[in-house]
Amino acid sequence: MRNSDLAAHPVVRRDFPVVAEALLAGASPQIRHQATTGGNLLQRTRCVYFQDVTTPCNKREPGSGCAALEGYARHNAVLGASAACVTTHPSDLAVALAAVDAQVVVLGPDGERRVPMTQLHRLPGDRPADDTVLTHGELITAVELPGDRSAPRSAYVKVRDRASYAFALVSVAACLEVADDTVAEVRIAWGGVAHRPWRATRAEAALRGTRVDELDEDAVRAAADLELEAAETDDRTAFKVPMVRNTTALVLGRLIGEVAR
Amino acid sequence: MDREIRLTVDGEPRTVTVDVRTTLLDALRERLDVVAPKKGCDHGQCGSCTVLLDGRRHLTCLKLAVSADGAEVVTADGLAADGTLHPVQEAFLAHDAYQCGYCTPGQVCSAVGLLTESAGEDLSDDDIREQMSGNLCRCGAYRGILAAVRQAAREVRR
Repeated sequence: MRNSDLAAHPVVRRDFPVVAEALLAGASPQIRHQATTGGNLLQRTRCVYFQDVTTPCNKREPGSGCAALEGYARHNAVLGASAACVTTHPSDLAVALAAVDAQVVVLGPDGERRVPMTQLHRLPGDRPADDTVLTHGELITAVELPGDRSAPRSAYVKVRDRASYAFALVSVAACLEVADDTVAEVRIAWGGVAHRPWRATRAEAALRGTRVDELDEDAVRAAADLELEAAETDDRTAFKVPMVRNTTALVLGRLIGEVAR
Repeated sequence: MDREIRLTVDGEPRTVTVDVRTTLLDALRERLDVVAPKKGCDHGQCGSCTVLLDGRRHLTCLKLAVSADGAEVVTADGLAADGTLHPVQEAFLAHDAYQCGYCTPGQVCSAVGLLTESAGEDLSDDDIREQMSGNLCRCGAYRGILAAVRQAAREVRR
């Protein structure tokens, strides 16, 4: 499935707009015609040191060191990084799929298994060369969206250094379900902040059950801050904390606005 | 490992034997002498190698030639019909939508692809900028390119 076809699919647009929006926020029209779902999930990091073979990189060459600890850091992680690797996963689609609880269907020598999208990518730890939990010989054959739990009220916002055709500094995918003027369910995933799409489960827990008329920007920011307590930053990456907090407030605000209409 | 592939390039059936690692861009330029698509960055960032592959805009530098076996390729050279320029090409001329011209074949193919994808819907200037964002112009002729695509889009809708 090509990214452009998936983004244009009527069921995706109706039931999972966050997925279509994330796809259209990624790459260029030409590349979206060529990129595929599985390939997108398994793309490697865009860390400049991973790409520059004259510099040390534990992901490219385990044990060689990490040049990003001292160097260009705009795409560095602020959550879940390790001393061995501080990079982020570049996919927009993966962030949206994490927010909608998609399942990745994997075929290997021992048969088929399903991996929750939130579990597909690893945190770097001391093995940053392993991006995912897939083992040798395993192949992604499909990605399943939960048919019993669509997310018609969902959105994706990506913040970049230029308006288009750039990787995320931070991005936010969110889904909101409201019943009886109360938040019945909210799911939030962040991109650009970690080695994998980051489900903000502490923020979600704080917002679940909130009355919609109390779900203002300050409430969302406070919930995001619960998640961001674990953030580790330096003067090169500190900008990401307010950026992801504010972007989360923006996205939730937009979804709440849809409820009001 | 070599493999023979068949392509239709600008209306002509072509057959070529390529190493399986050859990109479609290199197969076109180096083996088939089809030089309208240009090699700018050779890694999917600049868009100057854009062609229409089975009607959709693609980056030929990111496409292995063997994976295009059987495909129809239209380059900027193949857009004119019976000596008449494509409306996008006319619009690029009318708006001086280039300076050095190196990115132009890719810009033109990308714009033709955009007009097909948008299927006559009304495109704002921001839509055009976003949808043409995969084609860089180092001379900075974007004002002319935007005007040209805007005019071509209007003509296609008529």
